[in-house]
Amino acid sequence: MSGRVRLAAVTLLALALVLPSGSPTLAQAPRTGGTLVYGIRQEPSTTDPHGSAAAVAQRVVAAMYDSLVFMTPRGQFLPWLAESWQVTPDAKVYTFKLRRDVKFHDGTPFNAAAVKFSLDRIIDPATKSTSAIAALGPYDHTDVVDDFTARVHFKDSYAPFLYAASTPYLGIVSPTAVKKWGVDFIKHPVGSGPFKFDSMVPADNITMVRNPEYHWPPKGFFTNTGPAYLDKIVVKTIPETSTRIATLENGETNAIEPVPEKNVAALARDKRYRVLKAPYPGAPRLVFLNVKKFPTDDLAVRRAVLYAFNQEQMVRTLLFSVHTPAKTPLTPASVGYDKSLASMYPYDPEKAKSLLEEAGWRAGADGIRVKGGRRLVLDEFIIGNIGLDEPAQFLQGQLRDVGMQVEIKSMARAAWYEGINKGDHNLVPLFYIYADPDLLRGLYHTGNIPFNWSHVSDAGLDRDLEEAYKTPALSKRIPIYKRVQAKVMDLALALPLYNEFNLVGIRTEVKGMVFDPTAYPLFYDVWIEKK
Amino acid sequence: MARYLRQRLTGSLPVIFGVSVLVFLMLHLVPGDPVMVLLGEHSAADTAALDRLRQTLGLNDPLPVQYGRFVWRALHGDLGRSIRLNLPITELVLQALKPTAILAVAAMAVAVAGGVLLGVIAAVHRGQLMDNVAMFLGLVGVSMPGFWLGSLLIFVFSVQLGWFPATGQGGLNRLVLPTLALALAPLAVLARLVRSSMLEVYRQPYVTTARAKGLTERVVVYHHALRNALVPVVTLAGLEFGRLLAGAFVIETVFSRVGLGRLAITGILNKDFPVVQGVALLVALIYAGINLLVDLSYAYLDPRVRYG
Repeated sequence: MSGRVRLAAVTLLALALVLPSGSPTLAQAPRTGGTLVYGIRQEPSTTDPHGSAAAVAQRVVAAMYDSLVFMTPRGQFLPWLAESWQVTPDAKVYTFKLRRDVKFHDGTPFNAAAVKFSLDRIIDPATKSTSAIAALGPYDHTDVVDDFTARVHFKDSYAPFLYAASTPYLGIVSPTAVKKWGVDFIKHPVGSGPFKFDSMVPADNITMVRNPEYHWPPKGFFTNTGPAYLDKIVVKTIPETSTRIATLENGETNAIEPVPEKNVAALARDKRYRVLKAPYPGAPRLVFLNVKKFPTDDLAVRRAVLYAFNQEQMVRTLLFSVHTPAKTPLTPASVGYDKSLASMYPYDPEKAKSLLEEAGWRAGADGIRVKGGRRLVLDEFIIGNIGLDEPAQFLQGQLRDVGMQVEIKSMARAAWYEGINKGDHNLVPLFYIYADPDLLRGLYHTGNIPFNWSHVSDAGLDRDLEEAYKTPALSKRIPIYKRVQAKVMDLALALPLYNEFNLVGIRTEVKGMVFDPTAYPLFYDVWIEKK
Repeated sequence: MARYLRQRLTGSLPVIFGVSVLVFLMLHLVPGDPVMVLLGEHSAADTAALDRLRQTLGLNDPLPVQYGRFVWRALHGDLGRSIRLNLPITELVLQALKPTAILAVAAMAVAVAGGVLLGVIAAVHRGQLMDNVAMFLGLVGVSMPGFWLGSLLIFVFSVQLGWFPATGQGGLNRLVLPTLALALAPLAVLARLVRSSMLEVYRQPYVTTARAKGLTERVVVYHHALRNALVPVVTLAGLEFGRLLAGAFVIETVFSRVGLGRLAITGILNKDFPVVQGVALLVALIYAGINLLVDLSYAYLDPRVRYG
């Protein structure tokens, strides 16, 4: 399963915000030329789609490489490098008919052999692939049927593959360049995308320039059909938040990501800037409840947690109302979102208290409830200083009101992974961006313990998740995923907190920025207005 | 002189060896696994992948074996590859060294020049307004954290006035703000030391003699008093240079400059062992080199000091 594969939903809201507010917009013709300097918090760790890519690298990878198909934020698949495709009813074999007029940046022609080469490269241990290999699922092999027909075989049914094939992780690389550079391909990356690699200074920037030959974008999503408008893109790492905002203000950058919640209102008020909001698909910010560890092994405790938490108040006080309260296992921007579940656990502290009373939890001298001599203490494991502290403290305060004590254990990332994989926690926060509802399998299937951080093992859930995994038609999968989500809420496996948006600040001269299904920016349509 | 140098250089070896062992142990004893960071959520979903990757990276071997391999490679000029970026560390470190060196040297130059000037002014005008102003500035400099000063400088000179860019490296205009942010603390410390050191020298008989000979106050101050007052200052400047490298870690992040500090911090946060080891080794070498330079400069400043 493909972990941080960030797909997402672009969103009407984002598009609406791009337009100048007030008067109706006159359509302007995009201008060719100019440089986009994109200031970003975290360094894109690689230029190789198949390597050990952190999610953030996808902004760069998506600009330089093309994938077989394109997924729109509404879950529709469009032709890209593949003109058409066929899937067998058991979702084990995918046949792609490829475009014949595509060239990699180094002049190598794109064909079925390049597809086979790329997919085989991912499963080669020497590639040290993490996300891409996960996205390939039960991959077996690829047949080159003819020069422009590739047939991909899986060992097992794999319905989410079309989605995986649309992500930058399965971008197609130039076989010539990989053979030439070997492990140094990362310094000489070659794809077929609208931008070519120019230079890179580790920890500082990755610079790309326009590919003048490009004319094979996904059909029917972008307005552009030829080479990109921008001459150049500089993706610049600026870890310090105040510095990142300062560069947008003094013009060193003309776009930054992310804008901190507290700065959104001020930037949006200023005529020189605009804040684009793209909703992330997948699991909202949520907190898993470990069903295997005392006291969250008690269903009454888990349900009480869900009733005791006030999402609206949290969004208002902590997040400046930039994000929206979450009440469901998938965000509203996700394919398969079930709105009806949103009313299942209204904020109701009295209900939480009575559930606990019924289950035998009695308030002790200090107000913390006790049952059988054991106190109602929940250990929450978080990574320190990455914005998880305040939500955890907020949860701590809310649960205290109904007699539960939350112990916040703040640690470094590596130690945190180790702790939660062992299952030492009661509560653990997660944010999981993924545009296919198959992510639910990663979170709640027995086979995914311990990544299934609630450690749930439920035969009904497992059966449904497997069935959906093997059903090619999305329309048939969605009802199954709705069943899964209802079960997740019924068992109170997770406490949804809020639905997050990717917040991109731009100077108003930057036009045409749209987002991929994972809410990541796409630069192909971007152009810069001359002032 | 040659013998002294040889002795000192041999003496530095255990220090550098000690640093490398300590850093290696610390990195491995702190809980957490770089492969898990790398794989993120996949680490748990796919334990086979975890093991395969550990095997490829040599992280399954016993610690002494891993350390031995590190030393053996380092002796051959190879510091391995970054786990996260998959780039050669020698390349990363060398690329980061130049901007850090430029920043550190510029900041040190500003700190020494400013510190000596301020200190001398304060000492000469002891007890008067100039002294109080200089020492107040010194107090401000010591008390202001670098990251805060950095953000303030960016706000005033980059955003409001638009005089200097806020980020990056290369070109004098990108050096000014980070240099100031980094130099202020050591400048203040040095100014205070120069002042007290000068005041002490003033009480020495040879200063009285110089004045009695009828030399101008200028020659007395700069030729006779200052040169002698500088011996403890040089010692402190050497130490401050070490602190300055540590300060550069913060300043580089605030100003988004390429440098050893940012490389090390990103390495530490991601448990990228080889990167942190590489930077630590280089910084240890720099420290040892600077201490040696400080010792050698005594002979220049004080003719009584001889190395034989």
